[in-house]
Amino acid sequence: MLSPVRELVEKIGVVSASVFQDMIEMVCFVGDLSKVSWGVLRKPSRLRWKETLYYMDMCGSQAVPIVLMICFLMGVILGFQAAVQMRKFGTELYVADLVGFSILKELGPLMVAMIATGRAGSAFAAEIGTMKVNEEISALETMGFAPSRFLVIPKLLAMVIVSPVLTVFGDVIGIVGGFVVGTTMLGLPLMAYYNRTVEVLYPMVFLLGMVKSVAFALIIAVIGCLRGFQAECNAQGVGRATTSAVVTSIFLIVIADAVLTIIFSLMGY
Amino acid sequence: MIEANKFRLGLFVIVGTVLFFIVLFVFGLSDLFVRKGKFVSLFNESVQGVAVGSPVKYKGVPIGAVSKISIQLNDKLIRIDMDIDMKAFITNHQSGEKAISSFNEFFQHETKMGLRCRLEYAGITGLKYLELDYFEQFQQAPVIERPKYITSNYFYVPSMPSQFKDILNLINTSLEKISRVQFDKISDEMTGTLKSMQRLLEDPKLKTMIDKMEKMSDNLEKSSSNVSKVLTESKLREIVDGLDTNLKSLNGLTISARGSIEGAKFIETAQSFREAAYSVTDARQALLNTLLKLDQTLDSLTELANYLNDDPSSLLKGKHKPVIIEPGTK
Amino acid sequence: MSNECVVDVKNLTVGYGDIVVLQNINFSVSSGEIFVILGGSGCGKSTLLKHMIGLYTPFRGDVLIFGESMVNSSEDEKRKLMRRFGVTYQGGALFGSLTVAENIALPLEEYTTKTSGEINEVVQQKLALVNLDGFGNYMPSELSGGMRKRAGLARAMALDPTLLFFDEPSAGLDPITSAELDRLILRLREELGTTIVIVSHELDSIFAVADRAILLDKETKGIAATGKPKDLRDDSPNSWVREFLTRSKLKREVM
Repeated sequence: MLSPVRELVEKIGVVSASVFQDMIEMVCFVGDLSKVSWGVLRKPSRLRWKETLYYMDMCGSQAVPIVLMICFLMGVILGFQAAVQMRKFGTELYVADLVGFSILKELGPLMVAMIATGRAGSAFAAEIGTMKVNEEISALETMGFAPSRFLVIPKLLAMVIVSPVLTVFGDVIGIVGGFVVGTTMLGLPLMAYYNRTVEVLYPMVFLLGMVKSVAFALIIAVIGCLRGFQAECNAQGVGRATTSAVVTSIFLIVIADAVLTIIFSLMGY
Repeated sequence: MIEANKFRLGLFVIVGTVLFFIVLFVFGLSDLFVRKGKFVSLFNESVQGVAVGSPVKYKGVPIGAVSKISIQLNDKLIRIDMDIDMKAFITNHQSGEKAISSFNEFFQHETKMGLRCRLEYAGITGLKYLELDYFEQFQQAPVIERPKYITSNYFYVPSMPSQFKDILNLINTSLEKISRVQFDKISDEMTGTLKSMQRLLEDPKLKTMIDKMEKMSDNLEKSSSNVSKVLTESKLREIVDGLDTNLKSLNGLTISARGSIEGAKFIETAQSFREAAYSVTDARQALLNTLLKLDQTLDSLTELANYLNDDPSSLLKGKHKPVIIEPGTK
Repeated sequence: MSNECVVDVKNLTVGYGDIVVLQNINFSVSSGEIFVILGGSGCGKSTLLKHMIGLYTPFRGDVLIFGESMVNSSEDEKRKLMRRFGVTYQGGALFGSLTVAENIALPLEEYTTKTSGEINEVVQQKLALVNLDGFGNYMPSELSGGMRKRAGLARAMALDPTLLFFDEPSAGLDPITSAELDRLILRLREELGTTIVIVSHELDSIFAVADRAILLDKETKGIAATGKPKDLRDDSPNSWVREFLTRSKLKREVM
């Protein structure tokens, strides 16, 4: 019989060992990807263009409606909450600042990343997991292909391209959401709100939001694919891989967001 | 199956790219196409509340924004660089060198006329903006002359101390004066005074003095009661009655005298008599007054005696008053 | 049939994690031979195959294919070696996102400089070889199990390899389809001289196609017997081997 304390300590040890192992696998995977990416970069004809376009369509243009809806509502909610507080001080016009900065700096990229995690990250994990169950991954390998080149690079590239574009959509519609609240609920003049928004926001905020969205896209694609490759060879394994892909992605996205925010603020933005 | 909807994807990419450039343009790339004048001002006060991007206004008209805030190490002044949108000023010359030179002339002239740059509150949040205006007190306020390190491609606008700074100065001097008051010394002196007073009060001589005074006041009381005993009302009435009868007899005498003396110099005699009678009446009145005053004196004497009885030290201190320490005085 | 050695397994010890499944396995496959790896469920025959084709790294020992080591070569050398043989997986392992024709064309597109017309020609030829003419534009999900296996075989044959590995070719197929597949395997060997390694436990098909077989034993973690299946069934000194190879008959008699 183990004492409860010892049991707990052992459990912590086992968990941290597995987390450590997971991190090593992640790093190895990224290393493998870098190697394959370099190969593709040197010889762009090796890229699977058809797949890349397919994933761009799937993760990008098909996600536009949901991104528009969620980001618009985020803008409305932000504007509304800020309006309630700012009204007390007679500083309604600052709703434009709050909505503009929050959407461009944080919520635009973050919401797009969350949607992409749910739509694309889980799909990547499920797809690769199922391929593993069907021995398609083994088939690729014994055909002498590096599976990452076929399965990961197109997804990664597609995500990196479409994520900033989606973020542009999200940013614009989010600010429009704040605009709607400002002009209807607060009764601010349309041009006053617009002028305030244009006055306080500067392009670097917007561009750094894009940088964030690219970082998030990398995380989503890499984690989604990695979890797919790590899936156990059964239906439950694929399900678990999908869940793990979403959870790990969200976790890493939040960490990356924090790190990037710190870096950007050190840079003075 | 794995086939992209090329039309949708194309639309997505095109719309996204177009939006991207629109956003960039609206949020500031448009600034790249705006001709800007570089303004510089130097402050020797805190510029708390001003940040990069804070608006710059000319008589309330927004003309630009703060582009940089820095500290000049050689003279410890705070340097604020501003980007001024030249389009905010309408000149006769549309563009080019002439516009700039006329603008330059305008500004040099206006600076002589009292154009100053001052920090103003933008609202209750503590944020500030820079106001370019002509201030009434510009001649009294110290002007920071254009230093050499500000090159000629900058428009230099001297700064004015902000109103806030004036208020702050006032508060500061008051506080300084207060801080100069030596509260220690005051309290020391007071303690000394109180101690010596205590010593005085504890002096046995004072005790005997007070005892003696008490006795004295007792005696006074006794004597006053004796006086009042003597001067009861009935006695007074007796006296007055006596006086009255005297007067009556005098009156009778007068009448008889008048009868006997009528003929010769009656009138004068009667007159003098009358006067004499009047003066007697006055005397009676004066006596009555005197007696009343005596009564009052006795009352206040009694009061004094009682007061002394209650608080013998008041003989030394005078009537009790609350102590007030006034700041700013030694 | 030459005696050239195509696959050479030397002192191979394999397993998962810490568990050793098979140890000290030694055998070789000659050119043009149909070689069968036999064994009961869970004896490690699929594991052995996956080590032979380079998907897993063994604990010890080496696998030589065409005289080149599968274990001690670099990733790139291994990939090059892999292109020289074909593998047919249990479920066909066709890429679900591509049509049958695209599946077959994939290695050709990647490894040859053929034009798309030439590739299409090869694809039709391979489809004809496995009797799937006209199914080129079907998605794998639209095909039956047997058709998928044959399509998988066609893809494995795309680069005209001289060595083919089959993982459970008859599993999950009805006896008639299974027999068709056996005939296809024999035809390949006859027409193209291909060396074929099969992992299976379907005795009927083994007796039909195998030149030589090894029987893996779960208990000893080694090879229980080597030889022609018929000889093993009839003359093996090991009674367990005889029993294994006749069990299905016994079962049928019981039924």
